[in-house]
Amino acid sequence: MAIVEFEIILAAIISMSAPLVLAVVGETISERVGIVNLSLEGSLLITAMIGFAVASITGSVLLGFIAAALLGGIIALLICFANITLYINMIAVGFTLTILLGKLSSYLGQPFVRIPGPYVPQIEVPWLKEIPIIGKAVIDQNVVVWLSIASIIIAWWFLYKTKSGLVLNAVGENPYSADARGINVKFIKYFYGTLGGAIVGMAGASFSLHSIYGWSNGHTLNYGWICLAIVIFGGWNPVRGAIGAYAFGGLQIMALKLQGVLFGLSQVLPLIPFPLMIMSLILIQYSQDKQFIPNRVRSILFGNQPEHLGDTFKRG
Amino acid sequence: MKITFDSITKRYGELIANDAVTVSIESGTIHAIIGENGAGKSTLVKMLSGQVTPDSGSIAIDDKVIKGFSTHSAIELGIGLLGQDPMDFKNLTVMQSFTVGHRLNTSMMRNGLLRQEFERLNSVYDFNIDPKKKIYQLSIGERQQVELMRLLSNGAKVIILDEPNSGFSLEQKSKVFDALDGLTEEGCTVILVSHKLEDVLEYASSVSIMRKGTLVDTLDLPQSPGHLVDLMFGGHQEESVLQTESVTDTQNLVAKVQQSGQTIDLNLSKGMMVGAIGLQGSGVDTFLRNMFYDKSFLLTDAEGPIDKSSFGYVPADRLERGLFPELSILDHHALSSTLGHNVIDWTQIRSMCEDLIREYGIIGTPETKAHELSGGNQQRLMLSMMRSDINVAMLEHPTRGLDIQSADYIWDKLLNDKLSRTVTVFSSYDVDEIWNYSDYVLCFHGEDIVASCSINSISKTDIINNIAGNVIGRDE
Repeated sequence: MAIVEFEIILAAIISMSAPLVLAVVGETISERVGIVNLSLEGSLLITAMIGFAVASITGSVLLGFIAAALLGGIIALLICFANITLYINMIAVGFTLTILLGKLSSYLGQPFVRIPGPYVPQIEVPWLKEIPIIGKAVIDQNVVVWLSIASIIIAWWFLYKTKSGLVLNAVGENPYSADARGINVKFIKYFYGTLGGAIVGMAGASFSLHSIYGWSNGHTLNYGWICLAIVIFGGWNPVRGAIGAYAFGGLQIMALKLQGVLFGLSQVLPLIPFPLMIMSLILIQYSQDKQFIPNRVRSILFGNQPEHLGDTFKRG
Repeated sequence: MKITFDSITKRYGELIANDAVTVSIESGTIHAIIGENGAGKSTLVKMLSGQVTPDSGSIAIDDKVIKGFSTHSAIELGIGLLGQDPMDFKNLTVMQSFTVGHRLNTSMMRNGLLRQEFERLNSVYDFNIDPKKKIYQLSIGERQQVELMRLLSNGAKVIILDEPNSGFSLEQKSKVFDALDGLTEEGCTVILVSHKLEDVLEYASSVSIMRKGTLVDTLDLPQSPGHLVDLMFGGHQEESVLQTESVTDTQNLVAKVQQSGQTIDLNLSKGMMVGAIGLQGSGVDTFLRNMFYDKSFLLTDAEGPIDKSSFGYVPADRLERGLFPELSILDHHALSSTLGHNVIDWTQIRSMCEDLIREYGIIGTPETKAHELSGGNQQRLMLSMMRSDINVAMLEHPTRGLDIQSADYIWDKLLNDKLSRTVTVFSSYDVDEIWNYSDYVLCFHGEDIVASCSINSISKTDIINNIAGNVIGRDE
């Protein structure tokens, strides 16, 4: 009985956290190359809206996802263009975009508010879903959940195990050194900045087509901001970031499940991640200054910020 | 490869970095480019490496004019630049930094090809660098060695050394130049940008002299050092007369220094110049910084402890800690002088700034940004910003990377001001600097201060023995 209950909760956490995981992985890739996509909240809202709208009109969930990914990519491309080509501060552009896109999603999304529409179907996998725990939690889900899990593994493998991933890291660490080695820094920044945005777009679509069906104003529950914090909390490592996303998702689910038991406390539970995040950021900073955590442990636990994160690259 | 610069011109705002420079460099030689700081040497070679685009003029390789230089095309052509600061990635490992941008670019890193290549070069040149270490754990000299290996491994046929020697220990330097000597025999061309005449005379076979953005002459070596200095400074080189009178005033001044667990009392006199010396990588690197920021340094005179607010600190990494790269000279002076008044009187600041530019001989206008200045001029700017009410001046490697004239100027200034200050403390890796300019010396070996005494009670050899940890030598 307890196991069944546990399996259900675990499955719910993994399912509900899928959009968060995708957004964190996408943002992590952008930030590793030095691009801060601060429009994350706005991007998620507008892509959630567009994804649902396109899927509703065409009847194809796949087309909804493609449209959302394209839009997410275009938004990130805009930030890249402003920063890489026009040398405009990317934080300012991202912040303005997040407000603009948020309002735009409410305006354009009016016809789609609270109407029934398509969603990502569950796929029946015979006998594999009978495996204890994993069967329920991972296998007996849909494509979006599988995609979110795959994105963690692929991003980790790419960043740490491939030469291209190393080049990506190098550009974020020091674009000037990378430039001196003949690497096309601007192209690399454009490419991964935009790719990260496209993944964020898919995260948006998986909100409206997977975790919270349909569209309503402010549909993504401010999770965009949370994801920005999780990326930092995860030390710009997709695996640690994903763990952060699951932890956050887990607390939301727990709060729902325990509503009847804890009464007042269940409203407090979803808030726990916020002070927790602030505390861990303080811990990261403090340990850096005071060295009370050995550097080795620290780098495993927290990871380093790309040295030129958010900087405008401009040759002399 | 033969390299020809043909009437290259490059401007930064009002500053002419290169004014119609024409130089031809023969294949298979070590060719030196010398000149004082701000003469335009770095700008010239950075055009060859593709980091700077010339406003006009052209560069030819083996008599073929190359159009549209970029860092990428420069690498394709086999041009490698070893800069003043290593162009690497602090948070990556040595092996990763070696790999980034390598021409043996396979998508998977699993192959041991690059590892073998690294180990081969490491042993050929006898550099002994651990590929698993993170870059930030290496000394500047070791980082430059990794950079050199990377350039060679990428098939560089022209190696440009843009004053990289400031970070090298003597042993590293001889290893690096041994490697370069061997390469010229294989047909490589080495361009050595330097202000150190000794290095130029020892290693180069020909030399181009630059002054204020123009090419003065190209000569075959050997030449007499005096002649080269004349050409570098336009024949107006005045033999600088440095005061070396030591301070004998016996005003009671006690300094308490804490360094790696030991507490040392120094009996100083007012107006003394205290020199801290050690090898690179020893405690001397961070000594002044710790003194300034922590409570590891307590200075007491007859009236009690001296307030920290009258301490002035000039860091070694000029653009990282000392100055604001994007701010102009005018902004810097406004910052350092209007502390206390909130509204800036720009006309007053401007006239003061112009005076200081003239007084300190800074090559630039009030509008020139700090990062556009050469190293020597950045140092002058930092000195010009030091308030007159500073009692304790702390200077980290004040002449790091400076030419002779700039360095002499800095020493002149410091010696002039030392009597009006309570104490001046500086650090250096150079025994001659310590020997010539300090009244009191602190010797570092590892993290420890192994000797601290008045300069009159120690010999130069003893200083060397102390910093080398060679205590037996001292007893003999």
